[in-house]
Amino acid sequence: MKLFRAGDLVVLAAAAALVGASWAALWSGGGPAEFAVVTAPAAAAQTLPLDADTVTEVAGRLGPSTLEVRDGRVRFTDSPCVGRLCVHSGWLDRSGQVAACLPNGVVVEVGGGRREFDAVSH
Amino acid sequence: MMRAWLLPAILLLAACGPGPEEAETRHRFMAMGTLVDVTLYGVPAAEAEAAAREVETLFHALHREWQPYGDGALGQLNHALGTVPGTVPTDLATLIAEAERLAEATGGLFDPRLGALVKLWGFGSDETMPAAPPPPEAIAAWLATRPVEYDLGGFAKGVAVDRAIELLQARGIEHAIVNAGGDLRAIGRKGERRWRIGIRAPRDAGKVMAALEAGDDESVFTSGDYERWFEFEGRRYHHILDPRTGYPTEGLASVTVLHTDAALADAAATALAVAGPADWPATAAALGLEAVMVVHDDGRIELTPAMQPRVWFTSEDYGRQARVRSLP
Repeated sequence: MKLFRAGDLVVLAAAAALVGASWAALWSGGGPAEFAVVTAPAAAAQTLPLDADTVTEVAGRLGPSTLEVRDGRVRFTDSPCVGRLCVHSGWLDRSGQVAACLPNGVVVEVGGGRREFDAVSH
Repeated sequence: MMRAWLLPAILLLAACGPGPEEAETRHRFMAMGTLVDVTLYGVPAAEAEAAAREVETLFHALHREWQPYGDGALGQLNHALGTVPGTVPTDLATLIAEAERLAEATGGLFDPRLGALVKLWGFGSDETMPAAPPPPEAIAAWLATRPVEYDLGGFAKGVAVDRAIELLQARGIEHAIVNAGGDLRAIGRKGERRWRIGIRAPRDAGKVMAALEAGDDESVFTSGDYERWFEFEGRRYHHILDPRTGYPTEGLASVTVLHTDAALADAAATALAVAGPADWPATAAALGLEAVMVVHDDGRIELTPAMQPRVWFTSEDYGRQARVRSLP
Protein backbone atom coordinates (compact mmCIF):
# COMPACT_ATOMS: atom_id res chain seq x y z
CA MET A 1 0.00 0.00 0.00
CA LYS A 2 1.35 3.42 -0.88
CA LEU A 3 1.24 5.97 1.91
CA PHE A 4 0.98 9.00 -0.36
CA ARG A 5 -0.19 9.57 -3.90
CA ALA A 6 1.60 12.11 -6.08
CA GLY A 7 -1.20 14.65 -5.59
CA ASP A 8 -0.88 14.42 -1.80
CA LEU A 9 2.80 15.23 -1.95
CA VAL A 10 2.11 18.33 -4.05
CA VAL A 11 -0.42 19.52 -1.47
CA LEU A 12 1.95 18.80 1.44
CA ALA A 13 4.81 20.64 -0.25
CA ALA A 14 2.57 23.62 -1.02
CA ALA A 15 1.37 23.74 2.60
CA ALA A 16 4.94 23.63 3.95
CA ALA A 17 5.98 26.45 1.61
CA LEU A 18 3.04 28.58 2.71
CA VAL A 19 3.84 28.26 6.39
CA GLY A 20 7.48 29.12 5.80
CA ALA A 21 6.77 32.04 3.51
CA SER A 22 3.99 33.94 5.17
CA TRP A 23 3.35 32.62 8.68
CA ALA A 24 -0.03 31.64 7.34
CA ALA A 25 -1.21 30.45 10.74
CA LEU A 26 -2.59 33.74 11.97
CA TRP A 27 -4.29 33.98 15.33
CA SER A 28 -8.02 33.99 14.84
CA GLY A 29 -9.44 33.73 18.35
CA GLY A 30 -11.57 36.39 19.98
CA GLY A 31 -13.15 39.57 18.75
CA PRO A 32 -13.73 43.22 19.51
CA ALA A 33 -14.61 44.25 23.04
CA GLU A 34 -18.11 45.60 23.77
CA PHE A 35 -17.69 47.52 27.01
CA ALA A 36 -15.12 48.87 29.45
CA VAL A 37 -15.25 48.28 33.20
CA VAL A 38 -13.67 51.08 35.22
CA THR A 39 -12.66 50.63 38.83
CA ALA A 40 -11.55 53.45 41.12
CA PRO A 41 -10.67 53.62 44.83
CA ALA A 42 -13.76 55.33 46.22
CA ALA A 43 -16.58 54.21 43.94
CA ALA A 44 -18.36 51.12 42.67
CA ALA A 45 -17.13 49.76 39.33
CA GLN A 46 -18.79 51.48 36.38
CA THR A 47 -19.35 50.13 32.89
CA LEU A 48 -18.82 52.27 29.79
CA PRO A 49 -20.39 50.97 26.57
CA LEU A 50 -17.96 51.13 23.65
CA ASP A 51 -20.63 51.76 21.01
CA ALA A 52 -21.04 55.46 21.90
CA ASP A 53 -18.22 58.02 21.76
CA THR A 54 -17.84 59.59 25.21
CA VAL A 55 -15.37 61.33 27.50
CA THR A 56 -15.59 60.37 31.20
CA GLU A 57 -13.82 61.71 34.25
CA VAL A 58 -13.16 59.20 37.02
CA ALA A 59 -12.13 60.36 40.49
CA GLY A 60 -8.94 58.70 41.76
CA ARG A 61 -6.67 59.06 44.79
CA LEU A 62 -4.74 61.99 43.31
CA GLY A 63 -7.47 63.57 41.19
CA PRO A 64 -9.53 62.91 38.07
CA SER A 65 -8.43 60.49 35.32
CA THR A 66 -9.98 61.10 31.89
CA LEU A 67 -11.12 58.20 29.72
CA GLU A 68 -12.10 58.61 26.09
CA VAL A 69 -14.29 56.11 24.19
CA ARG A 70 -14.13 56.40 20.41
CA ASP A 71 -14.78 53.98 17.55
CA GLY A 72 -15.29 51.02 19.87
CA ARG A 73 -12.06 51.61 21.80
CA VAL A 74 -11.14 53.22 25.12
CA ARG A 75 -7.99 54.97 26.41
CA PHE A 76 -6.66 57.19 29.16
CA THR A 77 -6.21 60.71 27.77
CA ASP A 78 -5.18 62.32 31.05
CA SER A 79 -4.34 61.40 34.62
CA PRO A 80 -2.72 63.21 37.55
CA CYS A 81 0.24 60.78 37.73
CA VAL A 82 3.88 61.56 37.00
CA GLY A 83 4.85 58.67 34.79
CA ARG A 84 1.80 58.82 32.44
CA LEU A 85 2.18 55.10 31.79
CA CYS A 86 -1.63 54.87 31.61
CA VAL A 87 -1.78 57.42 28.79
CA HIS A 88 1.11 55.69 27.03
CA SER A 89 -0.83 52.42 27.16
CA GLY A 90 -2.90 53.62 24.19
CA TRP A 91 -6.22 52.29 22.97
CA LEU A 92 -7.80 49.12 24.29
CA ASP A 93 -10.17 47.32 21.96
CA ARG A 94 -9.70 43.57 22.41
CA SER A 95 -11.58 41.77 25.12
CA GLY A 96 -9.40 41.20 28.18
CA GLN A 97 -6.97 44.12 27.68
CA VAL A 98 -6.24 46.23 30.75
CA ALA A 99 -4.72 49.67 31.36
CA ALA A 100 -4.16 51.22 34.75
CA CYS A 101 -3.10 54.42 36.46
CA LEU A 102 -1.68 52.79 39.58
CA PRO A 103 -0.77 55.97 41.49
CA ASN A 104 -4.35 57.18 40.99
CA GLY A 105 -5.87 53.74 41.59
CA VAL A 106 -7.91 53.76 38.37
CA VAL A 107 -8.09 50.58 36.28
CA VAL A 108 -9.92 50.05 32.98
CA GLU A 109 -10.50 46.64 31.41
CA VAL A 110 -12.37 45.97 28.19
CA GLY A 111 -14.67 42.97 27.98
CA GLY A 112 -17.59 41.37 26.22
CA GLY A 113 -17.57 39.58 22.92
CA ARG A 114 -15.34 36.54 22.79
CA ARG A 115 -12.49 36.87 25.26
CA GLU A 116 -9.36 36.39 23.27
CA PHE A 117 -6.58 36.04 25.82
CA ASP A 118 -6.49 34.75 29.36
CA ALA A 119 -3.51 37.05 29.99
CA VAL A 120 -1.27 39.41 28.03
CA SER A 121 2.50 39.43 28.50
CA HIS A 122 4.08 42.87 28.24
CA MET B 1 -30.25 6.99 13.72
CA MET B 2 -27.08 6.46 15.77
CA ARG B 3 -26.85 10.17 16.40
CA ALA B 4 -30.35 10.55 17.79
CA TRP B 5 -29.24 10.05 21.40
CA LEU B 6 -26.12 12.19 21.13
CA LEU B 7 -27.82 15.56 21.40
CA PRO B 8 -29.54 14.91 24.74
CA ALA B 9 -26.29 13.40 26.03
CA ILE B 10 -24.37 16.54 25.11
CA LEU B 11 -27.00 18.77 26.68
CA LEU B 12 -26.82 16.68 29.85
CA LEU B 13 -23.04 17.07 29.98
CA ALA B 14 -23.37 20.79 29.48
CA ALA B 15 -25.85 20.94 32.33
CA CYS B 16 -23.52 19.01 34.66
CA GLY B 17 -20.36 21.01 34.23
CA PRO B 18 -20.03 24.76 34.58
CA GLY B 19 -19.52 26.81 31.43
CA PRO B 20 -16.02 28.14 30.85
CA GLU B 21 -16.87 31.61 32.14
CA GLU B 22 -18.57 30.42 35.34
CA ALA B 23 -15.72 28.05 36.14
CA GLU B 24 -13.16 30.84 35.96
CA THR B 25 -12.52 33.25 38.79
CA ARG B 26 -10.37 36.36 38.63
CA HIS B 27 -8.94 38.34 41.47
CA ARG B 28 -6.96 41.54 40.96
CA PHE B 29 -4.84 43.61 43.32
CA MET B 30 -1.98 46.10 43.23
CA ALA B 31 1.40 45.02 44.59
CA MET B 32 5.09 45.46 43.75
CA GLY B 33 4.19 48.58 41.80
CA THR B 34 2.00 46.71 39.36
CA LEU B 35 -1.37 45.03 38.83
CA VAL B 36 -1.45 41.37 39.79
CA ASP B 37 -4.16 39.09 38.36
CA VAL B 38 -4.84 35.66 39.82
CA THR B 39 -6.98 33.61 37.43
CA LEU B 40 -8.20 30.22 38.61
CA TYR B 41 -10.15 27.59 36.75
CA GLY B 42 -12.45 24.96 38.17
CA VAL B 43 -12.11 26.14 41.78
CA PRO B 44 -15.29 26.82 43.79
CA ALA B 45 -15.80 30.57 44.25
CA ALA B 46 -15.26 30.71 48.02
CA GLU B 47 -12.09 28.63 47.85
CA ALA B 48 -10.83 30.67 44.90
CA GLU B 49 -11.39 33.89 46.82
CA ALA B 50 -9.51 32.56 49.86
CA ALA B 51 -6.60 31.31 47.75
CA ALA B 52 -6.33 34.58 45.83
CA ARG B 53 -6.35 36.54 49.11
CA GLU B 54 -3.43 34.42 50.33
CA VAL B 55 -1.53 35.22 47.12
CA GLU B 56 -2.25 38.91 47.68
CA THR B 57 -0.94 38.73 51.26
CA LEU B 58 2.17 36.92 49.99
CA PHE B 59 2.89 39.59 47.36
CA HIS B 60 2.52 42.42 49.87
CA ALA B 61 4.83 40.64 52.34
CA LEU B 62 7.49 39.96 49.70
CA HIS B 63 7.27 43.54 48.43
CA ARG B 64 7.86 44.84 51.93
CA GLU B 65 10.83 42.52 52.48
CA TRP B 66 12.44 42.95 49.07
CA GLN B 67 12.05 46.60 48.19
CA PRO B 68 15.53 48.09 47.98
CA TYR B 69 14.93 50.91 50.43
CA GLY B 70 12.79 51.07 53.54
CA ASP B 71 12.29 48.92 56.62
CA GLY B 72 12.22 45.49 54.97
CA ALA B 73 15.05 42.95 54.92
CA LEU B 74 16.61 44.24 51.68
CA GLY B 75 16.23 47.88 52.70
CA GLN B 76 18.05 47.13 55.96
CA LEU B 77 20.76 45.21 54.13
CA ASN B 78 21.35 48.07 51.67
CA HIS B 79 21.49 50.49 54.56
CA ALA B 80 23.98 48.28 56.43
CA LEU B 81 26.19 47.85 53.32
CA GLY B 82 27.26 51.45 53.72
CA THR B 83 27.87 51.20 57.45
CA VAL B 84 28.32 48.09 59.58
CA PRO B 85 28.01 44.42 58.62
CA GLY B 86 24.86 42.77 59.94
CA THR B 87 23.10 39.46 59.60
CA VAL B 88 20.98 38.78 56.54
CA PRO B 89 17.76 36.75 56.95
CA THR B 90 18.08 33.29 55.38
CA ASP B 91 15.33 33.85 52.83
CA LEU B 92 16.92 37.05 51.52
CA ALA B 93 20.39 35.49 51.55
CA THR B 94 19.10 32.61 49.40
CA LEU B 95 17.41 35.04 47.03
CA ILE B 96 20.56 37.14 46.63
CA ALA B 97 22.70 34.03 46.14
CA GLU B 98 20.38 32.89 43.35
CA ALA B 99 20.46 36.36 41.76
CA GLU B 100 24.26 36.38 41.97
CA ARG B 101 24.37 32.94 40.33
CA LEU B 102 22.29 34.27 37.41
CA ALA B 103 24.51 37.35 37.24
CA GLU B 104 27.51 35.08 36.84
CA ALA B 105 25.77 32.90 34.23
CA THR B 106 25.00 36.00 32.15
CA GLY B 107 28.48 37.48 32.48
CA GLY B 108 27.02 40.33 34.53
CA LEU B 109 24.39 41.34 31.94
CA PHE B 110 21.77 40.65 34.60
CA ASP B 111 23.08 42.47 37.64
CA PRO B 112 21.27 42.64 41.00
CA ARG B 113 23.79 45.18 42.32
CA LEU B 114 22.53 48.15 40.33
CA GLY B 115 20.63 49.79 43.20
CA ALA B 116 22.68 52.97 43.25
CA LEU B 117 22.52 53.31 39.45
CA VAL B 118 18.73 52.80 39.41
CA LYS B 119 18.44 55.45 42.13
CA LEU B 120 20.72 57.80 40.19
CA TRP B 121 18.41 57.53 37.18
CA GLY B 122 15.31 57.92 39.35
CA PHE B 123 13.60 54.75 38.15
CA GLY B 124 13.45 53.34 41.67
CA SER B 125 10.14 54.81 42.77
CA ASP B 126 6.72 53.74 41.54
CA GLU B 127 5.32 57.19 42.14
CA THR B 128 7.84 59.35 40.34
CA MET B 129 9.47 59.64 36.94
CA PRO B 130 12.78 61.35 36.21
CA ALA B 131 12.68 64.66 34.34
CA ALA B 132 16.19 64.38 32.91
CA PRO B 133 19.01 61.81 32.71
CA PRO B 134 21.74 62.05 35.36
CA PRO B 135 24.80 64.18 34.49
CA PRO B 136 27.40 62.13 32.53
CA GLU B 137 29.94 62.72 35.34
CA ALA B 138 27.61 61.02 37.82
CA ILE B 139 27.32 57.95 35.60
CA ALA B 140 31.09 57.90 35.06
CA ALA B 141 31.58 58.04 38.83
CA TRP B 142 29.18 55.10 39.29
CA LEU B 143 31.05 53.09 36.64
CA ALA B 144 34.37 53.84 38.33
CA THR B 145 33.30 52.79 41.82
CA ARG B 146 30.31 50.44 41.30
CA PRO B 147 29.05 50.74 44.88
CA VAL B 148 27.11 47.60 45.88
CA GLU B 149 23.44 48.24 46.51
CA TYR B 150 20.99 45.48 45.73
CA ASP B 151 17.91 46.12 43.59
CA LEU B 152 16.05 42.91 42.81
CA GLY B 153 13.73 44.46 40.22
CA GLY B 154 13.92 42.13 37.22
CA PHE B 155 14.05 39.10 39.51
CA ALA B 156 11.91 39.55 42.63
CA LYS B 157 8.69 39.63 40.63
CA GLY B 158 9.57 36.29 39.03
CA VAL B 159 10.34 34.76 42.42
CA ALA B 160 7.06 36.11 43.79
CA VAL B 161 5.15 34.57 40.86
CA ASP B 162 6.88 31.21 41.48
CA ARG B 163 5.99 31.32 45.18
CA ALA B 164 2.40 32.27 44.41
CA ILE B 165 2.08 29.26 42.11
CA GLU B 166 3.61 27.02 44.81
CA LEU B 167 1.08 28.39 47.29
CA LEU B 168 -1.81 27.60 44.94
CA GLN B 169 -0.46 24.11 44.21
CA ALA B 170 -0.12 23.43 47.96
CA ARG B 171 -3.84 24.20 48.22
CA GLY B 172 -4.52 21.58 45.57
CA ILE B 173 -5.21 24.08 42.78
CA GLU B 174 -4.11 22.72 39.41
CA HIS B 175 -5.29 25.30 36.89
CA ALA B 176 -4.19 28.90 37.36
CA ILE B 177 -2.40 31.94 36.00
CA VAL B 178 -0.54 34.38 38.23
CA ASN B 179 0.10 37.48 36.14
CA ALA B 180 2.19 40.23 37.77
CA GLY B 181 1.99 43.23 35.45
CA GLY B 182 2.32 41.22 32.25
CA ASP B 183 4.82 38.67 33.57
CA LEU B 184 3.14 35.40 34.30
CA ARG B 185 3.25 31.70 35.05
CA ALA B 186 0.41 29.45 33.94
CA ILE B 187 -0.29 25.94 35.23
CA GLY B 188 -2.80 23.39 34.01
CA ARG B 189 -5.47 24.40 31.49
CA LYS B 190 -8.67 26.32 31.08
CA GLY B 191 -11.03 23.37 30.86
CA GLU B 192 -10.76 21.72 27.47
CA ARG B 193 -8.19 24.09 26.09
CA ARG B 194 -4.82 25.50 27.04
CA TRP B 195 -4.40 28.98 28.55
CA ARG B 196 -4.12 31.60 25.79
CA ILE B 197 -1.46 34.25 26.25
CA GLY B 198 -1.14 37.41 24.16
CA ILE B 199 2.20 39.19 23.70
CA ARG B 200 2.16 42.97 23.43
CA ALA B 201 3.49 44.77 20.36
CA PRO B 202 6.31 47.01 21.64
CA ARG B 203 5.75 49.85 19.18
CA ASP B 204 1.96 49.76 18.76
CA ALA B 205 0.60 50.78 22.15
CA GLY B 206 -2.31 48.63 23.24
CA LYS B 207 -1.88 46.13 20.41
CA VAL B 208 -1.24 42.44 20.83
CA MET B 209 1.40 41.22 18.39
CA ALA B 210 1.29 37.49 18.88
CA ALA B 211 -0.43 34.74 20.79
CA LEU B 212 0.62 31.42 22.19
CA GLU B 213 -0.91 28.60 24.18
CA ALA B 214 0.88 27.96 27.45
CA GLY B 215 2.12 24.48 28.28
CA ASP B 216 1.05 22.64 31.44
CA ASP B 217 3.47 24.70 33.51
CA GLU B 218 5.06 27.61 31.72
CA SER B 219 6.14 31.17 32.45
CA VAL B 220 5.94 33.97 29.88
CA PHE B 221 8.07 36.99 30.75
CA THR B 222 8.54 40.06 28.56
CA SER B 223 10.97 42.93 29.11
CA GLY B 224 10.24 46.00 27.01
CA ASP B 225 11.68 49.48 26.66
CA TYR B 226 8.10 50.87 26.66
CA GLU B 227 7.29 49.94 30.26
CA ARG B 228 8.83 52.92 32.08
CA TRP B 229 10.39 55.77 30.17
CA PHE B 230 10.68 59.53 29.88
CA GLU B 231 11.69 61.97 27.18
CA PHE B 232 14.36 64.62 27.53
CA GLU B 233 15.35 67.01 24.75
CA GLY B 234 13.67 64.80 22.15
CA ARG B 235 15.39 61.61 23.30
CA ARG B 236 13.73 58.69 24.98
CA TYR B 237 15.23 57.07 28.08
CA HIS B 238 13.81 53.80 29.38
CA HIS B 239 14.25 51.83 32.59
CA ILE B 240 16.32 48.80 31.50
CA LEU B 241 19.87 49.84 32.37
CA ASP B 242 23.03 48.34 30.88
CA PRO B 243 25.50 47.63 33.72
CA ARG B 244 28.38 48.02 31.23
CA THR B 245 27.53 51.58 30.20
CA GLY B 246 25.28 52.90 32.98
CA TYR B 247 22.76 53.96 30.31
CA PRO B 248 19.49 52.41 29.02
CA THR B 249 19.92 49.43 26.71
CA GLU B 250 19.81 49.92 22.94
CA GLY B 251 18.74 47.84 19.98
CA LEU B 252 15.93 45.63 21.27
CA ALA B 253 12.43 46.94 21.93
CA SER B 254 11.25 43.80 23.70
CA VAL B 255 12.34 40.32 24.72
CA THR B 256 9.90 37.49 25.52
CA VAL B 257 11.14 34.35 27.27
CA LEU B 258 9.27 31.06 27.83
CA HIS B 259 10.49 28.86 30.66
CA THR B 260 8.99 26.84 33.49
CA ASP B 261 10.80 28.85 36.16
CA ALA B 262 9.40 32.39 36.46
CA ALA B 263 12.41 33.71 38.40
CA LEU B 264 14.80 32.55 35.68
CA ALA B 265 12.51 33.88 32.93
CA ASP B 266 12.40 37.27 34.67
CA ALA B 267 16.19 37.64 34.99
CA ALA B 268 16.70 36.17 31.50
CA ALA B 269 14.38 38.68 29.80
CA THR B 270 16.41 41.51 31.34
CA ALA B 271 19.76 39.89 30.52
CA LEU B 272 18.82 39.35 26.86
CA ALA B 273 17.61 42.95 26.51
CA VAL B 274 21.00 44.08 27.84
CA ALA B 275 22.89 41.62 25.60
CA GLY B 276 21.30 43.35 22.62
CA PRO B 277 20.63 42.51 18.96
CA ALA B 278 23.92 40.74 18.23
CA ASP B 279 24.52 38.78 21.41
CA TRP B 280 21.11 37.76 22.78
CA PRO B 281 21.32 34.20 21.34
CA ALA B 282 24.62 33.51 23.16
CA THR B 283 23.15 34.73 26.45
CA ALA B 284 20.00 32.65 25.90
CA ALA B 285 22.15 29.57 25.31
CA ALA B 286 24.25 30.29 28.41
CA LEU B 287 21.06 30.34 30.50
CA GLY B 288 19.74 27.13 28.96
CA LEU B 289 16.75 28.88 27.34
CA GLU B 290 15.13 27.43 24.27
CA ALA B 291 12.03 29.49 23.47
CA VAL B 292 12.72 33.21 22.97
CA MET B 293 11.25 35.97 20.79
CA VAL B 294 12.83 39.40 20.42
CA VAL B 295 11.62 42.54 18.63
CA HIS B 296 14.29 44.88 17.30
CA ASP B 297 14.09 48.68 17.41
CA ASP B 298 13.30 48.69 13.69
CA GLY B 299 10.43 46.22 14.07
CA ARG B 300 12.23 43.06 12.94
CA ILE B 301 11.19 40.01 14.93
CA GLU B 302 13.45 37.05 15.68
CA LEU B 303 12.30 33.73 17.14
CA THR B 304 14.30 30.72 18.21
CA PRO B 305 13.48 27.40 16.49
CA ALA B 306 11.70 26.26 19.68
CA MET B 307 9.58 29.44 19.81
CA GLN B 308 8.57 29.49 16.16
CA PRO B 309 5.96 26.70 16.24
CA ARG B 310 4.47 28.11 19.46
CA VAL B 311 3.55 31.55 18.14
CA TRP B 312 0.65 32.86 16.09
CA PHE B 313 0.95 36.44 14.87
CA THR B 314 -2.14 38.59 15.01
CA SER B 315 -1.48 40.25 11.64
CA GLU B 316 0.42 39.40 8.49
CA ASP B 317 2.51 42.57 8.94
CA TYR B 318 4.07 41.13 12.08
CA GLY B 319 4.50 37.74 10.43
CA ARG B 320 6.32 39.24 7.46
CA GLN B 321 8.90 40.82 9.78
CA ALA B 322 9.64 37.57 11.58
CA ARG B 323 12.63 35.31 11.05
CA VAL B 324 13.92 32.23 12.84
CA ARG B 325 17.33 32.61 14.49
CA SER B 326 19.12 29.60 15.90
CA LEU B 327 20.91 29.54 19.23
CA PRO B 328 24.61 28.67 19.27
